[in-house]
Amino acid sequence: MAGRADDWQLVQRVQGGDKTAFDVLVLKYQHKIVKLVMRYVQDPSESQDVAQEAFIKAYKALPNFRGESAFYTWLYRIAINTAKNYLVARKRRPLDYDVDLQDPTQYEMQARVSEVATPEGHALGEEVREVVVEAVEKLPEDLRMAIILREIEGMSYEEIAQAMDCPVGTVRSRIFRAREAIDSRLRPLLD
Amino acid sequence: MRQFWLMCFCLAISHPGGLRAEDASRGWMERMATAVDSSNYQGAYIRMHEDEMETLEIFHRVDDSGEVTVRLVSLDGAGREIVSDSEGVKCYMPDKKSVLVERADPNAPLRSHIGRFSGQFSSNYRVVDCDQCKSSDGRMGQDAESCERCMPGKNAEQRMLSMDTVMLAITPVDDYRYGYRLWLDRASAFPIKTQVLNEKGEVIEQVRFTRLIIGKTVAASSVQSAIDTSDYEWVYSEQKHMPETDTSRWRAAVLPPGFMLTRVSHDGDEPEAKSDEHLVFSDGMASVSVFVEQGENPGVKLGLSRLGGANAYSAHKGGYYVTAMGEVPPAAVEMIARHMEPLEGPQLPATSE
Amino acid sequence: MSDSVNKQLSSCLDGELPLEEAAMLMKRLGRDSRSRAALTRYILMGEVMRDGLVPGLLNGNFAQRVSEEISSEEFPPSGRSSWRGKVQKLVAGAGVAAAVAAVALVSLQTAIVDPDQTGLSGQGNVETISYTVPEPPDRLNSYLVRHGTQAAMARNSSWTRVVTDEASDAAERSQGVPEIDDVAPEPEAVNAKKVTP
Repeated sequence: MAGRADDWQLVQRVQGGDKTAFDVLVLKYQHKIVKLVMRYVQDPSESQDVAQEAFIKAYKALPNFRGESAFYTWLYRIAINTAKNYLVARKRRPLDYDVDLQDPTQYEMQARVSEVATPEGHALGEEVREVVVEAVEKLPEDLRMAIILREIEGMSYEEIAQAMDCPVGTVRSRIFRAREAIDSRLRPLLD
Repeated sequence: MRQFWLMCFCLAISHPGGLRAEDASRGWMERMATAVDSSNYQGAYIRMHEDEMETLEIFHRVDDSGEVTVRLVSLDGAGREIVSDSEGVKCYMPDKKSVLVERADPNAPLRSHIGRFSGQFSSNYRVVDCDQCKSSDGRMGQDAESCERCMPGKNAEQRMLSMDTVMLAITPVDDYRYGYRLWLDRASAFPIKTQVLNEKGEVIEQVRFTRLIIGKTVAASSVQSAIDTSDYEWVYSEQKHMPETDTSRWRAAVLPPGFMLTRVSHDGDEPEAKSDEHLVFSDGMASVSVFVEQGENPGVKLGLSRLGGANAYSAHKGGYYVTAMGEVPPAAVEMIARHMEPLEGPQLPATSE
Repeated sequence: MSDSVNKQLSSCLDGELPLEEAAMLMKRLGRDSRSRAALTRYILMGEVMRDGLVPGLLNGNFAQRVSEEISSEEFPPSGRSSWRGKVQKLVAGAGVAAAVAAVALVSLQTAIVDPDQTGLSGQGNVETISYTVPEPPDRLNSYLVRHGTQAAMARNSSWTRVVTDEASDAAERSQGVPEIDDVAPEPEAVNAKKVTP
């Protein structure tokens, strides 16, 4: 989980007029937001449209974002409201969610997407998944621990350095080498 | 109406009426206990509590005769180790240049006891397999999200270490015990990640494996300490284990609901003589050890000591020092320690003289 | 593409890139599609590890579509404070065409930003706490070892507390009570709170 300083600095860039900073936020959260929307909308293609609308709404509302909550928490609520409104507009009964979560980033649930409903990219997605998982498994222990602590536990470099009893520079290097090792297998698949 | 429907659903999967789901979850618990006690495994894990984290290695070896040897190594700080085998437990402390030795108790339980006390466990905890927590139309989401027993963000964890995991949420029925969230490897039922939750549902301790090999033979050399102890002091526990007996000289006048005495061992040469005691109480999941020692303060700090996901409470009671320790909230150890009393002789007041 | 650039991308993704390196990297991202592709793959790896991958997003069109939509939007609305103008000038010189160029800006200091806008002002000073450390309680270690021996379910966790010297930490946090004041509450006064399943 990226600390607030990461996203907050990006948000400040956007508020300053830098639209490409918003592109970064989209890249970072597109999977989470599309998954979230799919819990309501179901259809993958429609979900992407609704998620796109949520991001655009967030962009337009960013001048009003004061940073009192995490950016993703704020974006999460916008996405839910956008999905509900979409269902109402399509005269579909919205699922009666009334979840008041203190930290919705901790409450993400993965939508069980049926294979029939998501032909596009499904096969490639499985391949990507297999390649990454296998590559992580084959990493040397110190690289694997570092990348797991970063990507899954969301720990900062400093926290990882403490956990692994090594300098921050070593953590930076290990995470980079782990990514490079995984990328060597992933890149041929996506190029 | 929606709240009523949700409550009915949750009751159905947790009440005796939802027995099938409960049985399945307890089955996972029993398989987990077997995996932890009886499998060969080795790995590295991180323990997090408060704002601290430590990295450890564990080697768990079961030889052909079934004898278990365990070696725990701290990869931080002074590099302490514990090695447990048929002879006993040795705690190597390079920071103190000493080895603490506890001789083996032939009557000590070899296996976790969830199965034996399953009735007791069911009375004190609710277990939910979060994969089963679905709405009636098969979709996950609202119910799992709203169900306070289910783990938020669990799906992010289901591919930990490239293992497919089952997630169990264990909810206590009152505030005298902690809750747990367990991520078990679906193939072996080994706990990849464990969280301990307090009465507010906050995670107070987490253990998570970052490397784990299950089922492969563990080399005998891996369970031997490599520390050079040539200039170490060896400290032997005074405890001499007597035959298992249920004739404790002490009793708990008040216990938290659901706890019962499960083990007693005495110190000293003669069972009939006054001696120190070690009693164990359990609610089917959590255990509380009570140590009763006569004479001078054995070196305990009176009052509460917090040990991450465990607590200890020591009290002085008429010439005895009583310490209750276990993976339970402070209120539980405090209640037990304060209400221990001897069976014979004048009853000691709760206040020390 | 050099290792040093990829290493910067990796650090940028984690919000750990120094400011002086971020500016250069941002310029590169503005003109180098391979850098953008590498960053996109790094993000993808993380999503797979967190089991958050949406296969339909692999073609990369989603982010592009959003970018195209917002490119026609005016931002920010009028009436903002002048410091934003300064930031816009800084950013304009960096070449704002790339989809991911500004990821490097994650590491930028907040000095150029009006602190009143950040919500980060008023974090306050860190309170220094001093306390007396009592003698290390070896007895607790002994109890922990014996507890682990007798309570099989607690074995690994109890012994973990010994090797991580939890007992010494506990001594620092311990709430000792004077012996003469050790008064137990009446049993009737202790009520367990029932949690309705």
